[in-house]
Amino acid sequence: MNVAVILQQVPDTEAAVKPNPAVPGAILEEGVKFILNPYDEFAVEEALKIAEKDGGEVTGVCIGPDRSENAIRMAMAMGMERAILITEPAAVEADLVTQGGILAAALKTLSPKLVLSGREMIDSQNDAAAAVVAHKLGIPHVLAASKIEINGDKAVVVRDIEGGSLEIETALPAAISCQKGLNEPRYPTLIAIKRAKNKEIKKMTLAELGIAAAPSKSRVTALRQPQARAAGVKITGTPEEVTGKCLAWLSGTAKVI
Amino acid sequence: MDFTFNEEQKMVIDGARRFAREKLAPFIAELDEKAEVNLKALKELGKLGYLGMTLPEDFDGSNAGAIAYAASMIEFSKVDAGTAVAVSVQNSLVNDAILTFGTEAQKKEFLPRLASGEWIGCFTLTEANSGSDPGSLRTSAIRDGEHFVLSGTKNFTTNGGIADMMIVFAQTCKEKGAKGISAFLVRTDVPGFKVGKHENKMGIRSSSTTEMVFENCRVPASALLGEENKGLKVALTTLDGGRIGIAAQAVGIAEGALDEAVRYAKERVQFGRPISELEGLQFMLADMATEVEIARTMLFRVAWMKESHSQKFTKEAAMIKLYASEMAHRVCHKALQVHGGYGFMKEYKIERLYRDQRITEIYEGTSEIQRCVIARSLLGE
Ligand SMILES: Cc1cc2nc3c(=O)[nH]c(=O)nc-3n(C[C@H](O)[C@H](O)[C@H](O)COP(=O)(O)OP(=O)(O)OC[C@H]3O[C@@H](n4cnc5c(N)ncnc54)[C@H](O)[C@@H]3O)c2cc1C
Ligand SMILES: Cc1cc2nc3c(=O)[nH]c(=O)nc-3n(C[C@H](O)[C@H](O)[C@H](O)COP(=O)(O)OP(=O)(O)OC[C@H]3O[C@@H](n4cnc5c(N)ncnc54)[C@H](O)[C@@H]3O)c2cc1C
Repeated sequence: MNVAVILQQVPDTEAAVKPNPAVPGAILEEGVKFILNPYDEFAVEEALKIAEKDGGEVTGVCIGPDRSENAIRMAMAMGMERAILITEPAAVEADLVTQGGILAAALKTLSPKLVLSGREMIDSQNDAAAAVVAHKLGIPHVLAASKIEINGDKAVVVRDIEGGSLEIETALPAAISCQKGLNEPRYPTLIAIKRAKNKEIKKMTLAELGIAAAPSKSRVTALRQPQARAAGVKITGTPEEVTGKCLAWLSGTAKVI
Repeated sequence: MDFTFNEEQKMVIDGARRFAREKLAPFIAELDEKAEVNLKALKELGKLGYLGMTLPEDFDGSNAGAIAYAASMIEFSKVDAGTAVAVSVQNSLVNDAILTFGTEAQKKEFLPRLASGEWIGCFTLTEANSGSDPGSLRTSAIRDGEHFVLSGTKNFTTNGGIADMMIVFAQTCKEKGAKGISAFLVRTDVPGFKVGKHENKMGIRSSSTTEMVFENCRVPASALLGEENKGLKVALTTLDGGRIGIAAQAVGIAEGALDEAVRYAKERVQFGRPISELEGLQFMLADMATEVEIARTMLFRVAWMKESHSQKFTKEAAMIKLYASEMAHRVCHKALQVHGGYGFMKEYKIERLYRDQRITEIYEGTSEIQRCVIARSLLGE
């Protein structure tokens, strides 16, 4: 069974990310290491497990700048065979719905039986890719799978919910997003890392995908870091003094009583 | 000049870092305490290709090269220097010796199994009365028709207790002394061989170090690795490459110690502010970071010399083994100092790193022996 995976590159969880003052919504990339979105690793692993059962192939689809190639190579080192990468700024900068349309157009060229994505991107926490793609392709969508079982033309998906779990049966093809705990993503072997270098990454333009323009109806206008917490106030003295000073501070400075 | 890793090397190193974080770090404190080997992790490293990093694909090696190997060694050593030395022995002492000196048949028999981790190997040269002076070793291998009969006791053998095969050095011609030593490839299940005493060590306690005891142990003449009586050359040539592994281990331990010191200094408050704001401490950290960086840079240059086969690197390998191990000593000493009394406690990682560092100045040639090698090369002897 052929499976397609939607891939994203994100800053490493250990990276200290700072907003770029010159470009609203963007980060300063210098010195930041980028990785394959960790949730996408679950998607790749699951896709490989499903495809390996009957000799199917796993293909990746990714919208992102040129550096996204590294994330794709990582998925390839895990075992993914090929990928489509769309690097046009119009696509990279588009909103989620527009990007979903572009991804859907790319996926159509592959006609996979199953589309998997990560549950969310760890940087922006965007979690719409699988849903929008499902909508655009007119196929069912299941969110945050913690178990996927393929049964002919159907899949049974388990999603953990507060205090329990849901079991969802869906027709295939379907687009499913993958939650942590779905599997344990494999480590690439060193030989597979070597092979990944020579696998095909097909760069496609919007024109090639038959998309004339990619107008966005929403955009990120700012990226802010949480404000540093102000230092606390230390109040000392006898119990009576402390109580008095405390009350004065609460009503006077903090204005909460 | 290009000092950057290529994309493939980066992925190999990232993989090593992730492996160290997920598969070594959770266990090391307990293994250190109990002096036990993480054999499961070692076997997994074999499956991933980290035990055949300098072997060609023809022998199921991953052929990642000496640079990626040194960088991976750094990542493993930061977290578990005991498992790291097992990786180093397999790659640089066992695989490289067989690749360089083995016959086609020997390569076919041993290398794929070593590269995949199916077999763990060891390199047993040292004896109770023969350490820095391997030419004086006494284990004998006496020819008996198409066989050799090995007798004697080796000691301090890394991987001894977990090995499936070994490279043994023995006297094949007593009269010739150092020029009468030969190397043999021997399975550890042969009759007449047994593992002796397991050493109770100060550091790298997650690695196995044992005696290897031979009592009339018969091996076929085809077990000779390299020519008869040319065993010392096998040992010394192999140790050149091995020193890159140990230097990388030292750099890794030092990097680990530096990371711990920086983190601790930012957290520890004395005199009303983090001790990292004290200039005296900052200078210590700055010196540590500088020395680590210098060693890293030289290490990768020597690894590059090995990988590119561009020139002999005996002198440079001795230099980086010497510098990196003594640098790691200074860095661990300071990193522990930064921790104050807490650095003396087993709850803190620096306590283990400090102990683990010490061996890097001793095995695969003590610091003094490295100086001898460097001087000999300098003076053109
Ligand atoms: C944990 C551990 C693991 C080991 N693993 C292995 C292994 O896998 N395989 C293996 O074969 N061996 C192994 N060894 C042995 C190791 O290589 C030797 O311990 C080392 O070479 C030093 O030999 P020695 O201990 O006999 O010390 P000695 O040679 O007795 O040295 C004692 C002191 O004298 C100094 N010295 C000696 N000769 C000279 C000289 N000519 N000039 C100046 N100073 C000199 C030394 O530097 C040292 O300070 C291991 C040792 C340890 C502790
Ligand atoms: C085995 C053991 C036994 C002990 N026994 C006793 C005992 O019997 N009684 C007792 O009271 N205590 C005892 N101690 C505590 C010991 O005296 C302290 O550990 C020591 O004073 C250091 O304090 P600290 O560990 O909090 O380190 P910290 O004070 O946190 O120091 C951390 C690092 O910062 C440096 N530093 C701190 N301030 C400055 C500065 N102003 N300028 C430059 N550098 C600075 C230190 O030199 C050190 O390198 C013992 C400790 C140990 C480990």
